[in-house]
Amino acid sequence: MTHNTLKMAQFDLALVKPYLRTILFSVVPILILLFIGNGSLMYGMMFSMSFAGIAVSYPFTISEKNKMERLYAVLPISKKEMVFGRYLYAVIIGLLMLGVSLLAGFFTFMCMNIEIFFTEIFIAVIFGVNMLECYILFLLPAYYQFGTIKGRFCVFFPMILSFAIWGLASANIISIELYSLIVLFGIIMMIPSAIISVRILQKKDI
Amino acid sequence: MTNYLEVMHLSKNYPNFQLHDISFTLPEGYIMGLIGENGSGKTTVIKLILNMIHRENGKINILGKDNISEESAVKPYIGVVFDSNCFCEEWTILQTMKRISSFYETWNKEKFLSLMNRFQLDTKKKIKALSKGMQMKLMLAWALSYDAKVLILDEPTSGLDPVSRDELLTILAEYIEDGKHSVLFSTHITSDLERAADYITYLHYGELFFTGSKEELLSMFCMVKGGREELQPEQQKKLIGVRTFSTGFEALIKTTDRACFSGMAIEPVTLEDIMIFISRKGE
Amino acid sequence: MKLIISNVSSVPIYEQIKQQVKSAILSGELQEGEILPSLRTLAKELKISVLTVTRAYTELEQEGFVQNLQGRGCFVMSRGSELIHEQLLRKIEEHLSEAIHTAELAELPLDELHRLLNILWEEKNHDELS
Repeated sequence: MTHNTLKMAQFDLALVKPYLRTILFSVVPILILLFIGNGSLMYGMMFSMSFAGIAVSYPFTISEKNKMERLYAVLPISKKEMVFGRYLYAVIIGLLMLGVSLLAGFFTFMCMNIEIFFTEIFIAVIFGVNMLECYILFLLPAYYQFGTIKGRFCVFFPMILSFAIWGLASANIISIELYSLIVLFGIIMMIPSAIISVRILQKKDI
Repeated sequence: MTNYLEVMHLSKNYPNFQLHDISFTLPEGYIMGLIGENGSGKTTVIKLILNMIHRENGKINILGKDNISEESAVKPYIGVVFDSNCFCEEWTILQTMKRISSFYETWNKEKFLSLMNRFQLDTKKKIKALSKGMQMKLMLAWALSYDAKVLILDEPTSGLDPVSRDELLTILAEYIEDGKHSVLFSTHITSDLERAADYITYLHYGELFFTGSKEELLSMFCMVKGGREELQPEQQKKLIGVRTFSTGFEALIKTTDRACFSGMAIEPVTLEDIMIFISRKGE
Repeated sequence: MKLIISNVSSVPIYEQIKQQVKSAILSGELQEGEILPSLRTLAKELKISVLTVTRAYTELEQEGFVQNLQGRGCFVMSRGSELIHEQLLRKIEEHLSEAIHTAELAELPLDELHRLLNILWEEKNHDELS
């Protein structure tokens, strides 16, 4: 069963691949400009993770456009494998975006001879993961339930939630340790979110 | 004789349409035509077989296994050709097959490539660059490249030129030649099935009008033709759908009623005649 | 063996197959003990349904012209020619009985009937020669 899940993640990545090149080539310059302008990793991270949130919807939009639900119905895969595969895809895409923005940041600051401290990197990574998991936890079930056209309205909720949590952390209302715990909790919550998505998909008539 | 597909008392309710108590059986090694007008429920039946939608009632067995509880065991043995492309249009044929073949243990790459050759499809072409006929052939090649025992075709020939339609029928004839494969061919273009189909299941407004051998269906009806004045009231009642012209009429009747029409021309029917006149019933 | 199926003939396809197999047996094209094309191969080549060919072969077997050996195929029976001959003779008898009945209605005596038969036979032979 795990094997098919991996194959579905690869499938989704292959769906998105034609668009990925365009995204990276347009995202990276903007990132670099943001880093130059702000001298901190945060704003670049906010930008790139927002993109990750959009990229999470791509397999849904492409499948809807090509009416690929018929293909999925014929392929010998279970709905569970399809959903878990898509969650895995979302994690991979998110981590990719995270890595890209970190690399772009390091490179820019190195060229500008600005030193970045470990805490800054840590907070940026924590924030990035938090934003990604908020998208995954809430957007994926929303897309499965409503499709991408209606589900799109749910984009703001994860964004606001992750900004709010970061705001609380920057205002020192919650400690960094608590922030990290929240993020860890979010990672664990992906499993129930995936199970909910499976239930949604199983109930649906295609 | 093994039955490859068994549909038993299948029902499905939609707000504007009900599929009611459909039962039919497709034995190993034969072609069954699933016919009916647009909206008669053919695609609904296929979606129920593939577990794409939920049924109100009934049971479906494929190769003896339940289509829901043993879905993963059954899917590797079903091949499907839809009426339109179901692949990502930005992919090339090669990319599509690379992704899809990974899900099938019995995938035969040589067979797929030889079919690409036979259909004259350039594997480097993007899906969106393919014509409708080419897209149908691609889906067919996909279905034939793993060990699918049951081939389901949902309106594969609408919008196709006669050459492609003929090529499809040739492939289907080869497919069932060894007696170990079956075909369910759903269409409203009955001319494709007139010669090739062994069995027919005829759906009419969501109800099962007939299921059985094609010969049996054809022998149930005949065409009666005559002058308009010749028609008596008692005979009028026995007509199932009429077409009148200035020079006369033609109508469908049950073969059991043919004695009532002595003196008029009685001819055998085609599947198309049956469908046209059953639809005209009540006019 | 030559087998041509007409789509536009009003004769059902299974009947066409039967008739052509019988002619082949009669003309000697199909010898006793020879095997008919495999059911499914024939269906594939003629692009007709398997059940149609099955019906033709089954009826040929019932009428005694061929024998279907499970797993081996359909073989032409030794009495094939004789059977066809018998069937044709029966047909002649039927037609002649009808002619006699009609002759009685027309009050045509037997020797007139004989004369008519001779004339028609001569005409037919003459047509065939020319």
